[in-house]
Amino acid sequence: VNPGAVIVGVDIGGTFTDVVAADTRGNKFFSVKISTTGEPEEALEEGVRLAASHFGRPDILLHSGTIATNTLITRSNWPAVALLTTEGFRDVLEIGRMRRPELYSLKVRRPEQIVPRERRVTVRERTDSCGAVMLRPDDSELARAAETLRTFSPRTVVVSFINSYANSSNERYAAAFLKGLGFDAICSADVDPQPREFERTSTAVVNALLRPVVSAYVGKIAAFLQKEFASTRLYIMQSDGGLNSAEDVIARPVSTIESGPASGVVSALHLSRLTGVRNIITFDMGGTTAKAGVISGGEIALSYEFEAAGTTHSGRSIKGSGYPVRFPFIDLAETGAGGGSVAWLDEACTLHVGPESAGSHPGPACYGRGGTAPTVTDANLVLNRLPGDSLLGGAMPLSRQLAEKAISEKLGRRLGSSTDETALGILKIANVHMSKIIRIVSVERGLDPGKFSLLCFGGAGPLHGAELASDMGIKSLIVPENPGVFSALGLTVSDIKREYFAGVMRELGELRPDEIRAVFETLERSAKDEAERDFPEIGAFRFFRRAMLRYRGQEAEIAVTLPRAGRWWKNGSIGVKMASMFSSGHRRQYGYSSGDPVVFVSARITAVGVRNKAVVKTRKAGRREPAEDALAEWNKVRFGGTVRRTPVFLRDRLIPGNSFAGPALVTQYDTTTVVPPGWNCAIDPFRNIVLRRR
Amino acid sequence: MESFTAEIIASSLTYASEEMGIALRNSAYSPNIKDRMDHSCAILDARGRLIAQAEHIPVHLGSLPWGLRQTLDRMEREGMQLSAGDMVAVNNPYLSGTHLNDITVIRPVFHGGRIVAYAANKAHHSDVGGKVPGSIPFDAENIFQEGFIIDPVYLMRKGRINSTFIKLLSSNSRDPYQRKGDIRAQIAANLLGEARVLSLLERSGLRLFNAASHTAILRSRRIAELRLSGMPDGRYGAEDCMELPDGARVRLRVTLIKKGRFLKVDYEGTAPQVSMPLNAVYGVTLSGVYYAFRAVAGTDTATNEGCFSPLEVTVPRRSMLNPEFPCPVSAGNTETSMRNVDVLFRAFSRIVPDEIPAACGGSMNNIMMGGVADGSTWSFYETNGVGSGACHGSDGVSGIQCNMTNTMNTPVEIVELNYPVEIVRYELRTGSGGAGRWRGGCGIERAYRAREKTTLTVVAERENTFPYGLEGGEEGRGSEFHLMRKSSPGIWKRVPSKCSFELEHGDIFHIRTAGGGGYGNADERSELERRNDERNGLTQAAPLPLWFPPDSTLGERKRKTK
Repeated sequence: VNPGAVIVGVDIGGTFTDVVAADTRGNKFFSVKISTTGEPEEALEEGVRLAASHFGRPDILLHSGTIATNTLITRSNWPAVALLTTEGFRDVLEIGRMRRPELYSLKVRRPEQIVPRERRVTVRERTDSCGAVMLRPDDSELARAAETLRTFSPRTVVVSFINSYANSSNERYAAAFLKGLGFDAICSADVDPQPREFERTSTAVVNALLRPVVSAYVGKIAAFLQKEFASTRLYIMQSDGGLNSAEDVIARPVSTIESGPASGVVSALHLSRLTGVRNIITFDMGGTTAKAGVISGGEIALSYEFEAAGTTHSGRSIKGSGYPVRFPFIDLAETGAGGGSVAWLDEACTLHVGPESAGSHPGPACYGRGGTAPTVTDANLVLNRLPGDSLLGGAMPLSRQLAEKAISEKLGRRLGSSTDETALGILKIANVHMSKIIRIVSVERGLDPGKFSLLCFGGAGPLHGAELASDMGIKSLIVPENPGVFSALGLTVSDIKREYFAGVMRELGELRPDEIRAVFETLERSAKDEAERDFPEIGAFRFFRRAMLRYRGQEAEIAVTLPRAGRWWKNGSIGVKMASMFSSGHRRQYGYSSGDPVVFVSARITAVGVRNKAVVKTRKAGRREPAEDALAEWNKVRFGGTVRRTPVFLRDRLIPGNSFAGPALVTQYDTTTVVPPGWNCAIDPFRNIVLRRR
Repeated sequence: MESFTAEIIASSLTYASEEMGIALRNSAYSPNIKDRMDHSCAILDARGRLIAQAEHIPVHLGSLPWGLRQTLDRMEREGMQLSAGDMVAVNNPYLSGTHLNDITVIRPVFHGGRIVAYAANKAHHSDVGGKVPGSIPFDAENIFQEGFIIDPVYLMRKGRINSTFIKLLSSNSRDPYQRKGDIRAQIAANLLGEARVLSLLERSGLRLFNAASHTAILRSRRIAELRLSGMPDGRYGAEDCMELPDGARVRLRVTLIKKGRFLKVDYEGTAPQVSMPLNAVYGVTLSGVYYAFRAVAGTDTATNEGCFSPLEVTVPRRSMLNPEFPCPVSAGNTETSMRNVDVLFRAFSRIVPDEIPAACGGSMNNIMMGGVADGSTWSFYETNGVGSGACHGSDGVSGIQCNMTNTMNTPVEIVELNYPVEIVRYELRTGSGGAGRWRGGCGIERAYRAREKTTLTVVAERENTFPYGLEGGEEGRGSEFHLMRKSSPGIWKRVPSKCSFELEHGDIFHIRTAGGGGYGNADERSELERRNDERNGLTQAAPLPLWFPPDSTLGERKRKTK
C-alpha cells in the first residue's frame, strides 16, 4: 500500500455530514461540515469531491451513516418482506415478548409490523430442541405456501422455523425450494443462529427489510466511485466499530445500524492508544441527545442485542418499543438531553429538562427563529458560557435578550428565582440526566468512573463535561482537537473487523483443555481463510478470543477476553482458568461469585485486519504561558454561587505545553470548553485539551 | 434547601432503583425472573414512605411500602432488632402483600448509626412448595396449602448471609437450585441499592437528603391533587365478577367518590372472602388502585408516596379484597387483581369517558407444570397475555400483557431447552377481539405437550364473564381451555379455567386467552379497516387445531445443560 495514501472519512448524520481527509504520513488534515440535505448519497458525493479537491484523490473511502436506522424509523419505502414459518407459530413476530412498552399508558401501542399478518405463511415441519428433525417440510405443502407468498410479490422471504438454531436443515431445504421458484429467500439461522425464536426471526426480518435499501445505496456509492474515483477502495463502518467490505454489508446490513455512534468510540479508542490513557468514558453531546460509551483497559466493550428504532427511557432502551436485532454493537447509553432540550415547570413548579427538544427549528429561544421555550443552550448563554454570544465562530449570532426573556418569563418568575439561578438549575438538572448515562456505561458494568477520563465531544460536550465530571467523581477530562468531526475522524483510524462465533453450551468442568483449544482453533482457521480471501489488500489479520460464560441457570453472559499468549493455552487446566476469570468478572459486576458450575455458552473470535491509518503528528511542548494573542477577552461567568471574572482563550492559538488554571473558557469554531474553578487546563502534545481537577 | 436539589436527589434515587432491577435480573437463575422479569425494586425513606420505584410490575407497586411498614411493625412486636448489615426476608402475604411466591427482601440503610432509608425488592419465585408445582393451587382452602410461609426472618445478620434460611427455603421448593440463585440475586440488588443511597448521602448529607425526599413527595402529591381537581365531582360506581370453579360468580364492587382534590375509593358491596385462592390481600387491592389512578392521572412525575396521598381506600374486612389470615390468596394476586383494575377503570370511564379503554382479556392465565425428571423435581411457571381493550381512536393490541402485569413470555425455544415440555402452538387467537368502531385486541393460543408425566395447573379467568366493551363496543370472547389425550387423538375435551390434572407423555393442553372489548358502535367501523381485518384474518375465529408435529423422542434422551 502506498505509504502516503489519502484516506477520506464521511460520516452522515441527521443534520450534518462530516468529512475528514488525512494521509498516512500525517502531513495534512482537512475537515468540513456540510448540511445533510436531499438524498444521503448526494451528501456523500459532495463530501468526497470537496475532500478530493482540497486534498487529492482518495485511495480509501470510509463511510458511516444513518441509512439503516432512518429506513426503520421513518417507515417509508419499506420493501415487502414475507415470512415462512412453522405451522402453529404464525404470530411469533407480532406477539414479540408480550410486554407493553409503556407500563401505565391507557393506550397500549406496539411498533408497526414489518411483516403484517397476511404475509406470514406457515408450513408443517418440526425440529426438536436437540436438533433432531421430527418432520421435514413436504414439497407439495411448500409449493402451496409459495403460491400464497407469490400473491404478495415479496422482495424477500425470510424462512424462520422453531429450533432452527439447533439444526437449520429444514430452513435450508425450504429456502432452496423457494429459490428454485425464483424467490429471494434467506434463513433465520444464517443471520442469527441462536435460541429465542422471536429475536432470531426479528433479526432476520430486519436484515431482509434493510437489504434492498442498503444494497441500492451502496450500489449508488460504488457507481459514483467507479465513475469519478475508479481506484478508490470503499469500506463501511459496522455497529461494532470495525470496517467491513461493501459486499459483506450488503449481505448483512443489520451489522451497520449503529455505525455512526460507533465511529465516535473508535475515534476515542485511537486517542486512547496515542495518549496512553487506557480508561476513557466518551461523552458526545449534541443538539438533541447525549451519548456515553466506555473504553476500559484499552478495549471497547461490545453488546449483542439491541432494539433498533426503539425508544429510550432515561438512558436505557425500552423493551418492546423497537425491533430487536442481535448483532454485536458498541453499547452506548443515550438520553434525550442536548443543547436544544426544553426546560419546563410542571403544576407543582418542579423544574424539568427535556425530553422535548426545540431541535434546530425553531431552535432555542436565543436563535431568534421564533422559538420561545427556554433551553439548555439559552441557559449556557445567559451564564456567559458562550463567548461572543455566537456559535460556529460567529457565523451564528445568538440573542441574549431572547434567552433571558424565555428563562425569566417561562420559569424564573413562577419559581421566584433570578434568571441566573434558574439557568444554573437548568444546567444542573441536564447534568443529572447525563450523569445517568455515564453511570449506565460505567457503574452498571462494575467500573468505577473515578478511574476514568471523560472524553468530551459534539457541540455541547465540552461545555458540560467538567461539571458533569465533578458530579461523577471523575478527575480528568479530554477535549480532542476537532470535537465537531470527532466521529468522522474515527473512520480514518479504524480497522477491518469481522466477528465469528460458535455455540458450545457445555459446562467448563466437562471439557478437556484440548476440546476448548479445538473450539477456538477451528473457528480461527475458518475466520482466517475467509478474511484473507475477502481482504487480499490487508497483510496479516490478528485474532482475538473471547468466551461467553455464565453460571448454570443464569441468563446474562459475561464476555471474558482470553490471553493470546501461547503459554496460557499450553499449561494447566484452561477450563479452571476461564472459570476463575469469569468469577472475578461476576464479582465485579454483581458483587458476588459462587461455586456453581460455569457454562461455556459460545466462543467468539474477532478478526482484525490492520489498515494504514491517518497519522497525527505530535508537536514539541512550547512554553507554559499562553501567547498574548490567545486571550480574546474577559467574561463574567457564574459558577455555583459566585460570578467570576473569566478569561476566554482562542483554541487555535493555544499550543502544546500551554497550561492555566480555571476559571476559564476556551472557544473554537464548533464548541466552547468550560474550565470551572478548581480545574487546571493544559494542551497535550496531540493538541488535546486536558483538564485536571486540582 | 439549595435550589433544585430535590429534583436531583429524586432522579438519582429513581435511577438507583432501576439499577437494582437490572442487577437482579442479570444475576438471577430462574427463567421467571431472568426471562420474564417478574420482580420490582424500590427505595423507601426511614418512615417507610416510597421515595423511588423502578417501573417493573404494577401489582408490586402498592404492596412494597404497605408490606414494609407491616413487616417492621411485626418485627418490633417480636423484638427483632435491625442492625447495620442486616437484611430481612418475608413472604407472608398478610404482611408483605401479593402471594407466597413473591419474596420481599428488605435492607435497612444505616448512616451515622441510624436507619435513614430502606432498599427493598420483591421477586416471584416460581415454586415455594405447597400442593402443586408453581404454588398456585386452584383449590387451596387455606394459605398453608399454598407453600412455605416466611414471617420476617434475617436473611443477613450483621453482614453475614443466613445460609440456614436459604437452605430451608430451597429444601421447600421443587427447584432448590433456582431458589438459591434467585435469592442471592435479590441480595445483590439490595446491596447495590444501599451503596447508591449511601453515596448520595455522602454527597448531600442526611438533612438535605431527607428534605429532598420530602419535597419530592410533596410535589408529586400536589400534581396528583391538581389532576383530581380537574375532574368532575360525583359518585361513580362499577362492578364486575370473578368466577368460582363451581360456576358461581362473586362480585367486586367499587364506588369512586370524587370531591375537590380528594378521591375516596370504597369497595362496599364486594363479596365476602372465599375458601379458595381468589382472595386478594389488602396490599394487592391497594396496588390496583395505585395502578389505575396513576394511569389515569398521568405518569410525568416521580413515582413516590405523594402520587397516592389524595386517595383514601376503604375495603370491607373479610371481603375478597381484604381477607383474613389464613384464607388462601395465591390467585387473588394474579386474577382478582386484574378484575380490580377492570372495575376501577370502568368507574373511571364515567369520569373521563374518552380516555379509558374497554376491558382487556382480564386474566394472567397462569400455567404451572411440574414433576420428576432425571431423578429430580422440576417446576415451570408462566403467565399468558391477552387482547387489550380498544380505546377511543385505536384498536386494541393482540397478545400482550395488560393491567397488573407486564412480564415477558418464555420463548418457546427456552421452554424446550429447559423443561420436559414442548410448545406445539403459539399464535394469536383470531376472532376473539370484541367488535366495535375500534376493535378489541385478540388473545393468545398456546399448546403445551408433555414429554414426561407432568402435573399441570391452570388458574385463569374470564371464561364465562366476558371483557366488557365501552360506548357500544362488543364484549371480547372469553377464555377456553382444552385437553387432548395422546390415547384419543383428534378429540378435544374442554376443561375449566381453574383446575389441576396429570398429563401423560404426548398429552396436549391448549389455552385460548380472552380478547379485549371493543369501543364504539361496530357499524361505524370503516370499510378499509374491515377489509384490512379480513385480509389479516383477525376477525374470523379458527377451529381448534387438529394437526400437531410428531412427538419428540427427547424424553428418552438426557436433557441438555441449561
